[in-house]
Amino acid sequence: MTLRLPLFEYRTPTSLAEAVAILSDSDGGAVIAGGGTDLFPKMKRRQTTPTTVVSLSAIPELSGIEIDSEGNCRLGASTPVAAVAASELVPAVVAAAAAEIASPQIRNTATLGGNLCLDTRCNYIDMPELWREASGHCLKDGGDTCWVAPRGDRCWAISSTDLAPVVIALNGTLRLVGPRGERETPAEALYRNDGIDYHDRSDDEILTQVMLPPFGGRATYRKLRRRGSIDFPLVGVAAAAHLDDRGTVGSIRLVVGAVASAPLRATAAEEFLVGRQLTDEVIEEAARLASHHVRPQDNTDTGSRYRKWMTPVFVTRALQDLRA
Amino acid sequence: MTTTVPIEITLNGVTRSFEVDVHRTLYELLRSEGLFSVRFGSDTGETGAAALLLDGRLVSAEVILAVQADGHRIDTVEGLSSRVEAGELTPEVAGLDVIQTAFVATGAIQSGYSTPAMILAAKELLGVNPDPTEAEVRDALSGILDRESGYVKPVEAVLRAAALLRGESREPFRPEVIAPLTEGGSDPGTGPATSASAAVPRIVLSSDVPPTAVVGKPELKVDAIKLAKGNGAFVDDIEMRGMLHAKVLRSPHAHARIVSIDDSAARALPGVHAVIHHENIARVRYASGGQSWPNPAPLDQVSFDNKVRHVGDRVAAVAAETPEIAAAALSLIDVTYEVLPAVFDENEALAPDAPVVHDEPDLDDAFAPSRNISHHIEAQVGDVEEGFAAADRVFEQTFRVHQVQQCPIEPHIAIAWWDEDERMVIRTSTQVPFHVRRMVAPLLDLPVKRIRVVKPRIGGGFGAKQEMLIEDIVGHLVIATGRPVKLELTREEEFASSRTRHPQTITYRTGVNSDGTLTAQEMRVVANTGAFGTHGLTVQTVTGMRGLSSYKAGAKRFDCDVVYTNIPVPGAYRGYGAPQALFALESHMEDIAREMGWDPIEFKRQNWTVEGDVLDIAPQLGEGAAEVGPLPIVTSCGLEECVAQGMRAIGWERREDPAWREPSDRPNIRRGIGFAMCMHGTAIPGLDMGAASIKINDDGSFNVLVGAADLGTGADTVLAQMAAEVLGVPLSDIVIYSGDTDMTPFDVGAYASSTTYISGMAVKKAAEKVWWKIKQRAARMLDIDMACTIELRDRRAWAPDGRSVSLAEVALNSLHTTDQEQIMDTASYVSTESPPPYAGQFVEVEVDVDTGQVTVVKMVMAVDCGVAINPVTASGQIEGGMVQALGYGHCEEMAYDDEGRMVNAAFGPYWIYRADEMPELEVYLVQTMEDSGPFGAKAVAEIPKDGVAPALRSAILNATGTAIDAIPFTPERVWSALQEG
Repeated sequence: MTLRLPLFEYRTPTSLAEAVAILSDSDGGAVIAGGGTDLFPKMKRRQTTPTTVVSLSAIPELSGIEIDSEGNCRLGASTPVAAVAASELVPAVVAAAAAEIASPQIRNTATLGGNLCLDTRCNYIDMPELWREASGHCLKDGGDTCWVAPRGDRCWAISSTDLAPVVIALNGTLRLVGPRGERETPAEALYRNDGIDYHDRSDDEILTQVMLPPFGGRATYRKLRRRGSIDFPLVGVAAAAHLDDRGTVGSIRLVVGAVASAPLRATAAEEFLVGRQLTDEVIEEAARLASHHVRPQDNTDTGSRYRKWMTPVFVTRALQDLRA
Repeated sequence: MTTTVPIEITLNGVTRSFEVDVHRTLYELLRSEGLFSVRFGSDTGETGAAALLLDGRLVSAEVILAVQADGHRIDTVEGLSSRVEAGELTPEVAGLDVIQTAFVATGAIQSGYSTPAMILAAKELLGVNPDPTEAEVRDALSGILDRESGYVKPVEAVLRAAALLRGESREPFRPEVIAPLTEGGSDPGTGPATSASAAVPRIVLSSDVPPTAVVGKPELKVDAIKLAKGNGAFVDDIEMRGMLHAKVLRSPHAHARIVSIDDSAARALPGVHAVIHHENIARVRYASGGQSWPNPAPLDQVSFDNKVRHVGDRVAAVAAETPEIAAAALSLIDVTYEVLPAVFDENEALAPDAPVVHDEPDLDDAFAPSRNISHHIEAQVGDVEEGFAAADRVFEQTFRVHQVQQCPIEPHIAIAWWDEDERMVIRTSTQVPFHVRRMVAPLLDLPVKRIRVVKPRIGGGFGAKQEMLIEDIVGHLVIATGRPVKLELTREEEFASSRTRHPQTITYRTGVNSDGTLTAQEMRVVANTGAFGTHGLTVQTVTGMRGLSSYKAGAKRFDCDVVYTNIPVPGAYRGYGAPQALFALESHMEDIAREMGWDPIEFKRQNWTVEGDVLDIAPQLGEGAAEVGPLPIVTSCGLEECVAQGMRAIGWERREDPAWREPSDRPNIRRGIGFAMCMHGTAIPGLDMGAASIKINDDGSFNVLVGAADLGTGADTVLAQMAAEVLGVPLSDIVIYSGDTDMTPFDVGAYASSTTYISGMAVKKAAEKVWWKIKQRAARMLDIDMACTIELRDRRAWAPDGRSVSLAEVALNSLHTTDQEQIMDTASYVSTESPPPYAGQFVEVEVDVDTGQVTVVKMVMAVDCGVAINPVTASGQIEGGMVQALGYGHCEEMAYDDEGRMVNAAFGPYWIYRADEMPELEVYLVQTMEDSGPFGAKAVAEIPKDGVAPALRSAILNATGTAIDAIPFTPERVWSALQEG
């Protein structure tokens, strides 16, 4: 039997201003549905019970992909993931990462903005309602204990977005619109390493656009998962670099996803790599630097020790991709 | 708050207006509109069963609101077919389009539950890409989980449809006959397989098999057309006026006593019609396994107990006007639990201080409940200790196999009501309609004669539905409310509250002489039967039977404790104890050969059980009783040919090539090839019974009524083929109806690989009785003395002199004109034998030694199932079974937190293979003539489950030199084993 959704009000504003007004007036009770492919199952499990669901589908300027006069790739937040995957305007690494998300049906419905704002995940929060209640609700579920790390005071739920590491690696900028107007922020700055408060975005702000600057370098995304594609990543590594003719790294951005509550920039590894050629020894040291502070928790069905050990392997593979 | 809004949808070309509640999913709207091809699979859309086309794009109706479809175009399979025409029913007359027809023609449809979704995925793909590659087809199908076909034939169907739509022609989809590689086969002179498509089964014919007209032919499945059209054929596809919706309150605790239960608030909720639990439902003990009377002890269940024994166990159930009210009512039931210590591991449950799972005073038929032992099984042939003492070497090895779920895409579902005669009708997704009727009767305090159980089309079962799992709940609620009641499990319930496969700890001890003979073989098993003992005895006797009869040994001993714990309940799962045994046995035998410096296949061949060998331990490991009867002897065996075909197809010689195993351009990759032999059984001898009735109609067609339960396997088709063969008519003249306790004769149901063999023989015997009556009447009509000289073929009865009458004339004569009678007869069949099918299973892998990820590149299975009555459906069984077995060996695993709550009760974290992840599959059918079976048939349903896990282990061992004694081979497990070296 399909679980039924709780009652809510459904709004389809036709302008951004109207959407912002609905969110502002709702006092935190309204949520934005991108495609709803992640939100509706969570609502069915009563992980979240918003009073109002706001669809952005009727705001035309939020959809579409274009290259602006300065060569930036601008993607509307409501663009379906499938359209991103099929686009020839976006950098190949973005299309490839989008094509690896979930299944064709989900990609046809899910949106770019929805994936970038994807709620964090954890074994405990994704259980049926009754089981969560019997455990004593966890921190993310309104309780006072994290069942992954019961002695701590934070939530360790995992960031599972595939697109965020790639957008951060490409030095993307996000445009958000709220009651105080519009602002732009580096994609990296949107994410916080906290399973509950994982976004630097207020409840009445709407992610409207992703802007990727022109990129002439090499980029890659490597994803560890138990299976072909439907899985969320267990480790995801995005890397984007400019190399000179001799293969020396001029600049690089290296991002590790799915090992914490936010995508993690590996700045120590980035600094080490600049000015060096990607030899096996250099890659090994960079992988060590990128991984040594990574501490996955035991909150997926795959052990934390294994995910910890796989992080340098996938950093290595990403860097080898750049060299190739 | 605005809760309903008007929307407009162009639905299959017709613009429609609806007032919808905003919180309704599109799934709910479409089903309420009678579009039954949109089916439930899960709440998150991962099964894809609820797929539809929204503006031409494939989406899942389970994660889209109805209001989101406002202003859009929706297409479902119902809109594809054109009008049904008069005349003989063919795919064209039924109005199928090219894609639907291709699915029918290639045998791509098994249960058909997700077929509409696949057809729509193909429609989307071919609309934008008329000439897709196989990889593109697989990607398009990748969001639709199929537990049945292994995706081989659906992919072939889409490629075929694409070709036909491009205007190209395609050969009929037919098996390819190939030359034998060993003696005894029939050589057509065509050499090895040549066909480009692996979807076509290869057949090695036996010269012992006589020619046939319908049997052995790739006939189209008799239910394929309606399933391709998405017709309302499943349990949920009816609308009962006034129907109530049931939901079950499940235990959140692994082990607890129910101190009190207060249902007053739930009862007071408007729209709630009944709340049932242990205080208001009579305590009647039963065992839920769908098995012959008397069900094996212990009877350790009651409908509702005052104790819960696993997370997901039953606490209470409600019936209410809507699913929402039912869910709200559950949350109003106030239950106070006394939480008890729980135990999950079978070995820990045997410890002296372990929590006692079954301490109820009225349980008197379990072996030792105070020690958590539900059953103890022993069997012995000869003296193993003497054998070990005499052996040159003795090897001992322990294996662990884990818990998996059957994952039918259609979950358990039942709808029940009082009919106009005040009899209870239960329309249920079951493999065992007759067992359900008998078993549910005492729980409901109804005589059997007041119950009718109907099995419509079933969306897969795989053993999970060899149970009386939910029928008592709907029955109680019908009695309590007087209204029709529907109960369908959620996906989470299907994982945690349905049935699963028994985990086991298996220890083998084998005495070996330096000449390669086995002096003794002992198997000790501790099996985890979870909260209840259902199937606990019989699954484990099959483990012993398969684990100790596949090879000859001077002495054999089986010792098994079946142990209660607090995990969700294991039961029947296709393979039924054999996959566990064969993983341990084949791995153990390979390791012995390696240790002794022998070739593993040669060592196995020296000892494996073949034609003429005695199954010496079989009588002691029969169903239930340990009676020593006459020793069965193997009478047909195509294993040598299976192994030869498999070795050639997989490229076995590469195994010894270091350059192939360690490709120089991919330093982290190791390649390997593995093998396992498989030997299974065919039905339960002396117990399984099937019956069939056949009657003639005015036009010379026949109704065939069978108790057998087709759950997507093609049973109805092969049974109808057998009737058609005997009666000399084409398959289209057989109208088969099955699995309805009022309308068909008895059958034990679909399990133990028995339907083709047992029910098939019943059909054959019934057809022969009807055949004889037709011949007698035809002889009179043709004025011939010797009725035995009449032959039936081509819809006519022929005299030796060449004169004939049509079967329609015979029917009209018998029904209307002369000595009127209904030509009709019934026959039953029970077998004293269980002839083993055999197979060689081969697996090729690549192992990433940096990550432990195993990629299965190719699987080849060559199967001796006697004569395949329908080679296309048989190969579909093998392909689908192999992929389930691959999931078991490679990646599927029920995982729990410390409290016994499953952490991956959803597809995604619980991994079943998708179309785009599949290895290449090749199937070979090696014919043998099994004289005890109908037309030479043996079983095929379960043997594909047996060999993949050990062959996978063997391949990983070949690739890496690392032997792993537990499954599944997850990246984490393989990586850890590689680190330990």
